[in-house]
Formats: sequence, C-alpha cells, structure tokens
Amino acid sequence: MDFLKERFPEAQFETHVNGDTEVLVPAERYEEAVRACYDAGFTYCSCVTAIDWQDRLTLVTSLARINPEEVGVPNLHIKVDLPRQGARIWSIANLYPGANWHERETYDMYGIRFDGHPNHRRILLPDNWQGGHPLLKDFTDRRPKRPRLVRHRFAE
Amino acid sequence: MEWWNSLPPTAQVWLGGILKGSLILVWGLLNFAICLMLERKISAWIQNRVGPWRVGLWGWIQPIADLIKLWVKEYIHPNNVDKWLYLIAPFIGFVTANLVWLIVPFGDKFIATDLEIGIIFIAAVTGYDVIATFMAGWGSNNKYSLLGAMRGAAQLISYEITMVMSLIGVVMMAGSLRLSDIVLAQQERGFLGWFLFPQAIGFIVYLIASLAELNRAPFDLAEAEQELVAGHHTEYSGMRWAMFMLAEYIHLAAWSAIAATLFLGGWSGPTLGQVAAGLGNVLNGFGAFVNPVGTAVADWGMSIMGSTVLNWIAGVFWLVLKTYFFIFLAMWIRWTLPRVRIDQLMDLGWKFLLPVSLFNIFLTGTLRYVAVTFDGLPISIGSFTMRLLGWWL
Amino acid sequence: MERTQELLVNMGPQHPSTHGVLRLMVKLDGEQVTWCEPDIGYLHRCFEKLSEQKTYPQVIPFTDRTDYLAALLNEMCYVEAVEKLFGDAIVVPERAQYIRVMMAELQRITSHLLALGSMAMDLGAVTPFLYCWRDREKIYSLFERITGGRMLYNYLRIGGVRNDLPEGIIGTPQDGEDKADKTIWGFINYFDAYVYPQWKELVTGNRIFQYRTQKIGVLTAEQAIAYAASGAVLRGSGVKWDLRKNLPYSIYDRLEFDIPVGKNGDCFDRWWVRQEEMFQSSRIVKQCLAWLAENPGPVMAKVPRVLKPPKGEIYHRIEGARGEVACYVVSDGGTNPYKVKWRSPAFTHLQLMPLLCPGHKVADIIAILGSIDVVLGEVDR
Repeated sequence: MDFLKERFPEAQFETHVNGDTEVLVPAERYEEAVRACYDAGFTYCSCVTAIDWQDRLTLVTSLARINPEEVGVPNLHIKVDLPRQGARIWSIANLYPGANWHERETYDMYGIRFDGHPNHRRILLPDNWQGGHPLLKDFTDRRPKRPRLVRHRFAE
Repeated sequence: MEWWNSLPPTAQVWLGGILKGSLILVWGLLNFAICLMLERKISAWIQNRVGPWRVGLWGWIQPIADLIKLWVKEYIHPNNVDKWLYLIAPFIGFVTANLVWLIVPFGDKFIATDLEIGIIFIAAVTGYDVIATFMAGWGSNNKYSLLGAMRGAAQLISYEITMVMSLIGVVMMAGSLRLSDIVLAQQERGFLGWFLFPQAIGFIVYLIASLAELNRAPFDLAEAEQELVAGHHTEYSGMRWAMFMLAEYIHLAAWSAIAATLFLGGWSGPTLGQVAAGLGNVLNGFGAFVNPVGTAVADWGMSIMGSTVLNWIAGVFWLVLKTYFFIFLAMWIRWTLPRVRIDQLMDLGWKFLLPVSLFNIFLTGTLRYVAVTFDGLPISIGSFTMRLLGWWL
Repeated sequence: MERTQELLVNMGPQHPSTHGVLRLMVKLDGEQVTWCEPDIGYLHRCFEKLSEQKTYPQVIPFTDRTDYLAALLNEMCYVEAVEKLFGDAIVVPERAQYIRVMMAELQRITSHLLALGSMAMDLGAVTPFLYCWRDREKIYSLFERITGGRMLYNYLRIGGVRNDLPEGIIGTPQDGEDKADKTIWGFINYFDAYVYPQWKELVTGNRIFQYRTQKIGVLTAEQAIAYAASGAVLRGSGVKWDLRKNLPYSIYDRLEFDIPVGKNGDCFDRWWVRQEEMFQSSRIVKQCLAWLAENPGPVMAKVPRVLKPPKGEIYHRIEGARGEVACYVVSDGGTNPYKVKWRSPAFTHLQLMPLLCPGHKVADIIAILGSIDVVLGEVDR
C-alpha cells in the first residue's frame, strides 16, 4: 500500500490479522484517498459499513482489486472517523455503483449521510420509520411510532 | 320414434336442442374431470411424484372433491371491479368451450348439429374466447389481469389466423367444410387415408397453433404464473375461477377432438362387428379344431355389423381414444417445455407458422390439380408431401 | 385528452417468483420495461443487532439463517473470521478443515441445484424444479446424518466441527446410485452419472430455454466489477475470479479444480457457470473424500470454554454459493462481538436489477432475477 503511504504520510496504517491493510484518513481527505485507491486498481468495492465506538462513528470502506492473475491481494479498508451526530461524508456510489446499497444501509443503520448519493433514503427499514438508526449502540426504542405511509418515495 | 315424430316440428327442435345441449354439457363436465385428473397424474408421473392418492382408488375421485370445495368456497368480489364484465366473463369462456363440441361427429350421423360450415363455425367460436379473456382482464381492475388479457388477446387473434389457414388444406382435400364429410373422406384406405399423412405440414402447424389458442404451456402467456400471478383470472375465486378451469379443459378436449376428426379420421375405426369377424377369420385359419368357434365368432360379428348403436359406440370409442392421445400430447408438452416470450411467440406465429401454412395451401392446391388433371399418375399426394417435408426439415 | 402512460406494477411482495418477499417496482410501456427498482427489507430480522447481544458461538445459528439455502457456507465464513481473530491461539485440525470444505462443496451443489431449478421454473418449466428437489433431498438426508439438521445445521464450531463424520457415511468409490442417499461417494457417483448430464440435456440444451436466456440481461465485465458482482454473476461476465483460487482460505490451495467462465454475461452464461460449478464441486468433494478416508484424527481444536478473542478487527471473504460472502467482525476483547457486519452477495447483486431490466420484456425480469439468484433471507438479514 505504498501509494497511499506516499500520499498520506500522516494517516494511520494498521494491518489486520489476515493481512488486510486499514488506513485512517481525515474526513476531508476521504474522497482523495478513495480516488487514489481507485486509480491504483482497487475498483471493486466489497463493502461499506460503520462501527459505533460510542464516542465516534468510524466509516469503513472495504476495497479490493480484481485481477484474475493475482493471488492473495489483501483488501484495503479506508476508515474515517465521524461525529455521532450529523455525520456527513462524500458518497462513493458514483465511483463504485456497487456501493450504492451499502451506503444506503449504512445510512439506515448508523445515520451517516452521504453527499451526492443518487438515491439517498432508507433501504431495509420502512420509509416511515421514526425510531432512529438501530445499529447505534444507544438505540433502545423498541416499538417506535409508525405514521401512515402516504406515498412511497421513488428514485427517478 | 313414433312418439317423437308425432310431436310438432317446433317442439322437436326445442326438445332436441335441450336434450343435445344437456348431453354436451354433461360430456364436457365429464371430460373436465378426466382431464383434470389426467393432468395431475401425468404431471406427477413426469415429475417423479405420486399425485393425488387419498380420495378414492388411486385418488381418482379427487376432481369431484375439488369441485365440491370450489363450490362451497366464498365468492370474493373485489371492490372497484367492472361488475358486469367481471361476473359474466367466466361464463362466456365456458359457453364457447362447450359450443365447439356441438359440431364434433361421434359417429355416422351421430352428431349434435351437422353444420355445413363446420370449420368456419370453429373459427367463429374461438373469437368469443378472446372476448371472455379480455372481459375478465379488463373487468378485474388489476394490472396483472390487464397485462394477461392484452397478451391473451394478441396471442389468440394472431394464432387464429394461422390455425384456420392450416385447416384449409384439409378442406381442400375433402372438398367440404362439413366435419362429417371430412371424416367420410378419410375412410377410403383404412388409416392410410387419414389426412395426417398428406397434410403433415398442416397437422404440425395446427398442433402448435392450437396449443397457443388453448393458452397452454409453452404458450400459456396469458396466465403465465411466474410472471403475471395468474393473468386474466387473478382476481377470481371459488366457482368463478373454476369456470375458467372448466373452460380451459373442455376447450382442450374439444380442440383435441377437432384434431382427431380432421387429421386422424375422427370416429372411423374398426367396429366391434368388424373386429369379431376378423378375429373369427383368423381363428378359422388355425385348422379344423377351432373352426366351430371361429365360425361362430365370425357369424356373430357379421350379425352385429349393421347395428347402429354398436357402431356408434365404436365411433365414440375411437374418437375418445384419438382425442385423449392429443390431450396426453398437450400435457406432455406442458410439463416438459419452458414458456416462450411474447415477442418470440409473435415471431413464431407471424413469421414462421403463417407462411408455412400458406405454403401448405399452395402445395395442396398444386398437387390436387396435378392429381386430378393427370388421373392415374403414380404420384400420391401423401408420399410427395412427406418427401418434401423430409427435404425441408 | 388522450395520453399514454406508463404502467407501474408492483411485483411482490406476494408474487410467485420473487424468491421470498421481494418487491420489484416496475414501470411498463406495454410489455417493455422502462424502469425497475427493488424494494427490500420485508424479511429484516436484525441479525447484526442481535449478534451484538450474543456470545461468539451463539452467533453461528444466526448465520445459518441469512442465506438459508447455503447455511454451511455462511457458518464457514463467520467461524473462520473468528478463528482468524484469535490468531495462533486456535489451530483448526486438518481433518476438520477437510470436513468443512467437503460439506461446503456439497452445500454449494444443493444451492446451485435450487438456483437452476427455480430459474427453470421461473421460465415456465416446472418439472426441472421437481428434479432438483429430488436430488437435493439426497444430500439433505446425508447432512441429516452428519449434522442432525436438514437445512440449518449449526455444525461448524469455532475451532473445528461439532462431530466427526458418522461411521460408514463416506462409502467407497464403487457405490452406485442405489446408495445415493446413504453414502457421500454414492451421491457423488449418482451426481456425475445422472444429475449433471440430465441438467445439461434436459434444460441447458433446450431450444426454448436458450432463446429465453441468451442475450438477456447482458452484464459486461467492467459493469460486473463496478457493481461489485461476485460468484456466478461475475464469472458469467467473463471475469475469472474465484476467491477459492484468488484469495485462498482453508485448504482450497491444496485442491484441484477449475473455474468455469462465461463469455457474454447474459442469463444463459450465469446459468451455465452454475451448472459447471456443480461439477467442479463434485471434483473437490471426491478429493476430500479420498483424504478423509485415510486420515482419521481430531476434529476439534483445544478452545477455551469462554471465547474471548483479543481486541481487533477482521474482514473475511469467502466464496459462497451466490458469490462473495464476507463478514466484518470487530472484537473489543469481550465475550460478545462488538460488531458483526454481514456482506451478502445477494444484497449486492440485487442492485443490478435497475441496470439489467430496462429495455427487456416483463418475462425477462423473471429470467434475470432467477439468473442472479437472490435469497431474500440474505438480502434483508
């Protein structure tokens, strides 16, 4: 992951048990980091998720390189620390169309908003869900109110 | 018969009509029950299953149990349907299916109405079926139903043309539109006289087109279960739904009977008397020991050969046998093939089957002209068509 | 005023061929599809939230229920991820690895059989579906003897498998079809001799089937990678990428098998790849069986009674039946996972529907949906 180390000397690098690299970049350089990975051949977005550390949220974007000739290319996890309230981040869904639903799910479950997402709404929970974002650690509302759904929102 | 003849003609027409109508209705329902059971048993057999097994011997009373269940089921009448269209549609389909049976000859002069324009009547009756499908689809106020009805209408109309065209060859060979005449025209040389052989192209086109007409797989687009839930009868339940099923199976049986009549010689086949006479002759050939028995059998056969009732029974037997051969074929196809897509169906109908059936008319006409003009020419229409078909395939 | 309007049709949540409770919103111009969007979430069971309340071994049954048609493969993903979190503290015995791989490949066969069967049924051929059940039943009765469950097993343990194979279930390579539901060799021989050729001839060779699937739902290789497709969908588009080969886990680097690859990326190629993969799976099972017959040994590593992985994170990807199954497990050093994220292939693949469907006919939606083979349990978790 030398290409990232050159461009982001101040970012924190860590290696997982299975050899994956994770890199913690500041939120304002997230777009730059993702684009750098994309240019380096990491064109496959395996997963987007978040971790709730109770004092902050960490967005994890797992990228991979798909090259049939290579064996054992480790994944690359780009991490961004975000505040728990009103988190906003640049959406990678236009660069990686496959991340579209993963970002929607992350919004649904953790409440992170993605700027520039083509279809930014809830995915697993109903549109009229008002109980908050369930995968946050302090989610307790077991039976939230569900107002009557007047009209379904479409992405046109 | 004296009593019958003493009635005024008007009464004869009315009474006879009612009698024939109810017989046809009973016959249709009987066929429905048998077809339903056959469908289940054949599909089970093809799919490594047992099929219905509990009700009656090997489950053969299952269709009656089904009918009772459907009869007592609640009629669900959705809101916002076009009431009259919704209510009437199943019955129109049912009636048209039964109408076809009116002109099927079961034996010599054993026919409900011997229409001079039998073939045209078939084509006309089919037209009503489109109306039933479309009424059900439009009246149900359901998007799936509407789509199914659109598909059904498009499919029925395009395949009706193909089907009628494929029958014209038969009409040309028999020289008549009357179904009993067509059967009589096939009786010349035993089963070799069947129009199946000279009209092989027409036969195959007819088989494919009638499957499409019947909305049966692989052409069951109007009620394509995996796409449109149940197509035009999505919103029906209980006995009204059963009416669609009744119509489907009676239609299937009717079309098979028409196919048997037009291509497989209809009711013609050895009667009991002929069989007995033939058997007696064969027995006589075994020597003096069996001669008395053989002679007795042959004599008995000769004596009953003229019996109208027995000949009618034989006619019905052969017709039913041939009909059920076609029904079996349709079921076999249904449980084997995937469904085609609507554009592929239209392509098949308009771009392939229609030209082929037109070519068949042309070929039949030419060969007919040749056969009539050069009488005694050692060229039979059948062998030539077969050879041509083989070359074409 | 006369005007034409597109017809908005809701396919599902109750619909015969949405493979569960999927809702597809489709706009139709006549028979032509102009717009399509899936609406999911009807089967959401809070798997990820629940697993934060459970201990590590208690999560295994939940993973069964995500993709309930390939339960063992999901267990394998989760169990291996947790084992990796432990680092060197847990060394899984070799025999357990072989049993896992063999079971996983048998499970892949059942899953692909169902995928093929249900796709054939979606195209209107009901009979292949019943044949698929018949053959699946045989594997399931084998699984029942091995694991005790027919569909949801809870068989894999962190550190090995629950029990060794029962006596006599391996059988001998000479076992014929009469032993298909009694020994694994019997089933594999039956599969090679009957099931695989039967599918090839009965359905793949069928003209109508080919007309219905070829050139339908074409996904190019670039699109497949951009949309994060995996498994048969990715390979059907011609990308020779299989995590068993390209990111080897467990003992797959010791086994010999090929990766079938399609050319055009249409429904037929995806179908074909699945059919060939079943055959490759049967090859893998044979190699495992040969090894298992000769090497007895323990099937469970020494693990502590209370599992407390050290602090850390892991993202483990394996090749599931439908594509890349992955899970992101975060441990805070306690008995419960701090976070489990389940990356399911069907969820990712369902995004392809808006891309693939427009321009095709209504009937093709069903073919495309069948060919990308979604399981709603896995989509909604």
